[in-house]
Amino acid sequence: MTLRVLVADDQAPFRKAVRSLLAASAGFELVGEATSGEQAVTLAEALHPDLVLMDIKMDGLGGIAAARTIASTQAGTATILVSTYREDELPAEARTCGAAGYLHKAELGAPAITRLLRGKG
Amino acid sequence: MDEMEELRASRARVLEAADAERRRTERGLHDGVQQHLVALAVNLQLARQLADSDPEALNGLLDELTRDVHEALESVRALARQIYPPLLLDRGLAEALRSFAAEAGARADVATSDRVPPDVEAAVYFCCVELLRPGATIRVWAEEDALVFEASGEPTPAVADRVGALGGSLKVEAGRTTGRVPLAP
Repeated sequence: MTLRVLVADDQAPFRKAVRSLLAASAGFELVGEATSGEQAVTLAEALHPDLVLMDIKMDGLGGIAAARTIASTQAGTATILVSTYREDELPAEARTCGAAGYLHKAELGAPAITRLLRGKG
Repeated sequence: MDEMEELRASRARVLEAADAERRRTERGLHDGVQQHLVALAVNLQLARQLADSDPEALNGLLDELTRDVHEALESVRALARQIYPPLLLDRGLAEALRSFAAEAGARADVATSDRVPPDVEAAVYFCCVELLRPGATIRVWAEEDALVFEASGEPTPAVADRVGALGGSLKVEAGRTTGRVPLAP
């Protein structure tokens, strides 16, 4: 089964790296890219991805608020929060927003995503 | 405003400017070098995958990683220059100011190449950077006991605070600002 992924980050270098990573990873398909929390919510509603890789720190509606909206409206979509924070530096809302988990951006890879989703599944 | 009030206001502005500078630096680190390093980390994960599955694609990725490293280095260089220009530290005011002016599309006419105390060089440099506009010329010359700069336009509070902190003076005449920074307090 192929996991359909939406990436939401206002930083182009990260989106580009995710594009390359998923293109080379069996079982993943990048279906959309958002550059803000608002756009992530809109695209999640339109594309129904299996997974959203959501940056926490974005202008406007941040990643945590967007994850909360997606969790309450898109039952089939899991969100993994990503950032460069250490896990113990995360805002408390990161744990209560309905996201499936958290990954440091530097640790992002197909095995880490699979491990996290399996652990939460 | 009496002298004490002006001093308090100046101190508050100095603190505010320092905090704003810290926020700019944090933003510069987050949006610049950190993003390049994150992309590098993700691409290294990918490189590990490709080493087993697609060695040919790995070559292309290594080229990309090399470009990412250069971009990260450029981000660090730009940020370091914004915090404190290495040219100012190593080669002095004249070269640092000419270099900044050239990149800003302006001109710096610096009539001295003598090194003076670092706080004086820094004060004159950052005042000039604050005042310099594209297409304009800024002049700097040495007097017996001071460095003097002259530029068109009004001085900003940051310029007034820097000059004031070193016991200097500002004069605004016919739309031009002249600042005088003493070599010794």
